[in-house]
Amino acid sequence: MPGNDNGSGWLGSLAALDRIVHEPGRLAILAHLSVVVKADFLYIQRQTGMTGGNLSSHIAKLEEARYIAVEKTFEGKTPRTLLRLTDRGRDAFRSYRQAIIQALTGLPE
Amino acid sequence: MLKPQDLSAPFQESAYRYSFQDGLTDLALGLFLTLYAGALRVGSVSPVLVLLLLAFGIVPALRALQRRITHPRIGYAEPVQEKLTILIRGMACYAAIVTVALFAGLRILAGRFDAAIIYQSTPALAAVLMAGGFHYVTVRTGLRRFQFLNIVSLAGGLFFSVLRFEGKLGNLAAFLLCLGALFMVTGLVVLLRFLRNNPLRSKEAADARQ
Repeated sequence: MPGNDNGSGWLGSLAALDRIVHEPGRLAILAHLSVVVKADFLYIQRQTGMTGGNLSSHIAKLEEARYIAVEKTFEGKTPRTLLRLTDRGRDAFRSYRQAIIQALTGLPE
Repeated sequence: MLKPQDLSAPFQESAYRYSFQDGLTDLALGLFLTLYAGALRVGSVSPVLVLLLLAFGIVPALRALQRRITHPRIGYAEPVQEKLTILIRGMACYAAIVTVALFAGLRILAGRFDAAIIYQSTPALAAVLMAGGFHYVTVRTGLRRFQFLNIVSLAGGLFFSVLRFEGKLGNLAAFLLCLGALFMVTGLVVLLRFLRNNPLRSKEAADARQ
């Protein structure tokens, strides 16, 4: 049935979405990092409105997937965590954006 | 049908706005304009000396202040910049076009074109040249205070071009001095508001979050 074909195709594209990027918190982090060379923890926290713990856990997941690079430095005596989107992360973010547009296009109005 | 939109613009604007919301850039620009105006009053100033002052004096001082005042309060982000060659080419084209247009306008309006009228119109020329920069910052950051400063600068440039001061570049020095003072005042107001609205986080909170 054509309808079923379309439905399964749409479901397929939705199921193929990168789950790491699909989570709204991580998507927000990637979106903010995609327009800067690098940013620190506080900047991302203020931009996304997440709590410190929540942001830390999302950063750990993104770092584990090698979507972002984390650099720990010191500014005087204050620790500073610098975040940067990796090429792999940028590709994942772009692919996700394309995939979600395709998946939503298949939805009935 | 869903149309892909460029959603990066608001994110970029937000990142650019971040580096201008503390008022320190306004203060630095104000200081530079004031020093430049003072140097013009004293005598002729080498453009190389002015660039050296900007590159090795004011810009490093601004960065150091931002590291000390801004970053601990609101964090740090380094926005993606345009390629320097594209930026310089754009600035050079803009400067050439407005200079030719202004001098052509002067020739038509005043009916003559000599050194005296060029010196007299330097505030207007400086204001129009700076207008490009202010417009760029306004578009990039979405901060309306730069639009306001741009309008004031343009009006001031025209105003000081019709006034007479002592010395060849006396009216340019007076214009830059007033503009520099205005930038320092607005910068100070923005900085004080920034410090009030963004108190320093406690060391424990900062450590726990990072």
